[in-house]
Amino acid sequence: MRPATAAALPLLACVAAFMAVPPAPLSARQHTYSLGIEERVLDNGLRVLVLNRPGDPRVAAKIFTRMGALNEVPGELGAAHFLEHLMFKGTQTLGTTDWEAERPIRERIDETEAALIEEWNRARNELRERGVFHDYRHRESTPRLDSLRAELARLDREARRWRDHGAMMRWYQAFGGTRLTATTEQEYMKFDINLPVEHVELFFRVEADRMVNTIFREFDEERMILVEQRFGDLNRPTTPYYEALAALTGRISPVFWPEGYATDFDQYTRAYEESLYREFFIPNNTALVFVGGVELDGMVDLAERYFGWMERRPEPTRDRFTEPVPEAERRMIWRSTELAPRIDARYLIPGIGHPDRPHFDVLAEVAAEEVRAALNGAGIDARVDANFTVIHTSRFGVPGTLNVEVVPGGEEELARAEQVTLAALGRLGTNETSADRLAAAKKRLRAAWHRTARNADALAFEIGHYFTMDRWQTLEEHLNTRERSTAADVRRLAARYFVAENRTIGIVRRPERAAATQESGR
Amino acid sequence: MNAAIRRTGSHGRLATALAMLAVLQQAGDGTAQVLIHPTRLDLPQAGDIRPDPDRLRVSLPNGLAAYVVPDAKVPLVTISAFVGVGWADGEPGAAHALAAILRSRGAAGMEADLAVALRRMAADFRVVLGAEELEITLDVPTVDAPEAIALVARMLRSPAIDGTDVSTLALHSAGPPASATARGESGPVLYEGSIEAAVNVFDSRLLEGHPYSPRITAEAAAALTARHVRELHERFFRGGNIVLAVSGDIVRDEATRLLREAFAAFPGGRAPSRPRVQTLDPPEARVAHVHSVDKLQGWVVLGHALDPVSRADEAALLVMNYILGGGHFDARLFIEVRDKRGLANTAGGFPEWRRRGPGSYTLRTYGRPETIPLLIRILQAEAERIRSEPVSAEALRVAKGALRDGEFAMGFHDGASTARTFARERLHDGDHRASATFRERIDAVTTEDVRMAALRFLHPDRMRMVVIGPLDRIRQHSPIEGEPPMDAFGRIIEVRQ
Repeated sequence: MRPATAAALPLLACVAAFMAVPPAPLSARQHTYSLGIEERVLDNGLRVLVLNRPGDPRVAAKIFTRMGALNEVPGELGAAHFLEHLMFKGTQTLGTTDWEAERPIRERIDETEAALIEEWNRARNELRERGVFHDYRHRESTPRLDSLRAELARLDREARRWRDHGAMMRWYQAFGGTRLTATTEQEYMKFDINLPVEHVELFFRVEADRMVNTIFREFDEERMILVEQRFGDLNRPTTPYYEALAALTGRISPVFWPEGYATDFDQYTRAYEESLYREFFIPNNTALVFVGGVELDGMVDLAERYFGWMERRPEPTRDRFTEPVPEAERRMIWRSTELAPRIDARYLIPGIGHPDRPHFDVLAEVAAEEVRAALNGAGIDARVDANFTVIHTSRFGVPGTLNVEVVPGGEEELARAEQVTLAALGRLGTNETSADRLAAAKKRLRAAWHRTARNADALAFEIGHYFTMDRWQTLEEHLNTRERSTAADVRRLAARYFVAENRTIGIVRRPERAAATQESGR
Repeated sequence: MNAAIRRTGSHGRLATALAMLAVLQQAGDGTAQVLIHPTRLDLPQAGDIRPDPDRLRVSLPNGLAAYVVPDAKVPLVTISAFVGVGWADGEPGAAHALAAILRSRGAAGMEADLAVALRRMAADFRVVLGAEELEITLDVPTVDAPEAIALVARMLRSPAIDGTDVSTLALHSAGPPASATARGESGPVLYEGSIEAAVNVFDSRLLEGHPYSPRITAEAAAALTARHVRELHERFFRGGNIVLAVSGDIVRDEATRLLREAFAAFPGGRAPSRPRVQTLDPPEARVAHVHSVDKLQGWVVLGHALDPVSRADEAALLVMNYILGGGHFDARLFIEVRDKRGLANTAGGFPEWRRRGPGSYTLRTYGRPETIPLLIRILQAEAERIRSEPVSAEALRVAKGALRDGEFAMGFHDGASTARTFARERLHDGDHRASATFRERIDAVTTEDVRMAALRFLHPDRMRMVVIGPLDRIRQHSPIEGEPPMDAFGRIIEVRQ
């Protein structure tokens, strides 16, 4: 083992403090995280966050914007994700062979769409019937609507004369960029690239352009890609189950809404996407995150050059909803031939930024072990997992959930498995967790964190994600706080949150006819 | 600037404004956006980050080699063992059974304790079996590294073969036959909503009956015995046929000491000779296996066998495929199916070749049922286009940069990737000439090389196809761009639930 040489290591090296601690019995060892993230905020509010790894030949670079599905409205769910897709369609300088020739077509497209929206609203105001289930009338049309849609399609085809497909990302690739992707979830949108350090300036050039100059090309084609992605999700039998469970778990917060319904995809307009784009993609709502062989000063210089000219804009609208405290247990029976019989117990918990939130990480680990041991003891063979996933993301800055998932060997075990599971979770609120179990839980969390931190892209994601959920500083506080979690913390939180009125139970069973068929042996 | 300002008239004022804008853009003084084209940023050349493998290699007396790459970003150590054995070796199913044994039982004498040990170490553990290689990887906190290294050595030396039902393990590990259509998330992956399901079916169909098939028959599994598995182990798990990769929070001297200690009694011996395996004859006519599945999308895999690719041909093939379908936003397949038409989330090309036996070259996509015939037509058309038209200089430049400074460089971007890259290269090639010359080989590729690679490795006329999806809805489609129906591809073999 490498001897402690903390004095020789730069202060910013996150491992230094840890490596200085000699091996010690597991339960006696406490760890301290010092991630070494440096920050500079430009005059216009743009935040630059750098975690320097001296000698790394590459840099994971990300741009995070505090905007996501939480900013959507019913009827247009998925609009934020759609905006992310549209932001790959290029700008005035990347993606077109002649912007001056293309521009007037784009202006006519916007005018035509404005007329379409006017006609759409007029037609809707005349419709009085609203159906339920499959009796929708959203596809009602008028001759004028049809004519305007045809004109939009014609103009779009005309604009393609100057299209340079793929140009937006082409140069990232040419200069050695990898892991090129983007994600939109409830609280953030991000664009990612991993580059040789020599080419990091390209990130600033491309992302500053994307942030303010995006042109919404191939609007209807890209709309269908959202449909395709939605279909891909729905092809998995777990998706509708999880979405139904989420809808039961939370009543108000959009974090519990699905990504979009088929009827929503038809509603997106350029005007609405533009409004989201202009409101949220502003320097004072954005952070650039770098992990790798780059230094803060260099990144700030480039940020000033490419983003410094942007002006601070009014603060975007923030979500104002507050999830009410639940009053009674919710239960759902889901009949399926495609899902294995299972039990899901979901408990509403505070989000990232709340002082107790770090302790829930430990509670989840302990809970999984407790449930596993209890099921084993009861002779029930089952797969057990505890996590914080709610539909499309694993963690929130607004109410989240702690989920305990139990998949027993067969449907005949469900009732007993549920009873044993809930009893085990209940005991956590009355009995003290052993020191060994607590230490083992922390060790697993520590190892999981280190696996994240080892990967520059994953680490950069965590830094940016915490920026959007709360503050980036919360990340280090979160890690250190859970290192200090005690058995008393575990018991206190279990006693308060693992209660019947705070839980949603989902149970997957076979359809009744199939169950009867099985029972009869036919 | 002064010369520009002296002009008069509207054109003059416009010219002046443009000149001022250009100067401001060049100066980047913060008053206007800098919009210099990426190719004119004067970015320096990315450095060659590949280290010298000789300085990282540790040789053990029994022929074992290890690549030790310290990388102390975090207090974790990763140990990987790469063994030159795969499902193409030994009795059908023997390698599958052995991989399953290692995965679930570990070493002899610790069967029930493996899961406990892994949990205690908070370990990440995986066993991955390919046609020609087996990988065991254990990733643990630094404090557990000595135990982890010893555990890997013990598993390699004495896997827990005795007392296992090798037939069942082999069948489960290999997966169901291609014709199976059992439902459920715990059944075959046909219902997992992933293109991988169709790829698995394609590989099974392509290699049916061949030693390189990833599947085994029920009869072969029934005939498998523990003796077969032991023989496979004794023949292939020898020092000269295993290469280790150790990386993370560990120093070379300590790692070497632990490796010598753990592998002291490991049997030496060279890698057994493994001749090249019979290649696959191209099909006499095009054939499509279509599986009926009630889903919202259909999945398409189009392709053919791919023989081992020589080092001389590798670079041009990689460049060609990068341009055609390299899984990025600028690839031809992506632009045609997604950007231009909104038909599919993605489409890509996958040349996957092996050292001694057949691999495959496939084009893959998935989409709404009504788009499947057009997607098939586009995949075929792009395969034909890259064979007949030279690629542009710009496309060539982009592909080379992406491969040289992107994908290749990522093989050495940290300790773990470096150790893995060198270990696998050593195992399969015996030396490091391939990685030493990769950058220059890529740089040397010309547009003519790309076209020749397409002619040599991509054969639209020899393709077979797998389609998994709602066949009735796929067949109901009306042509969107005059494309033929799915059934016009060739001989159709249909599998219904």
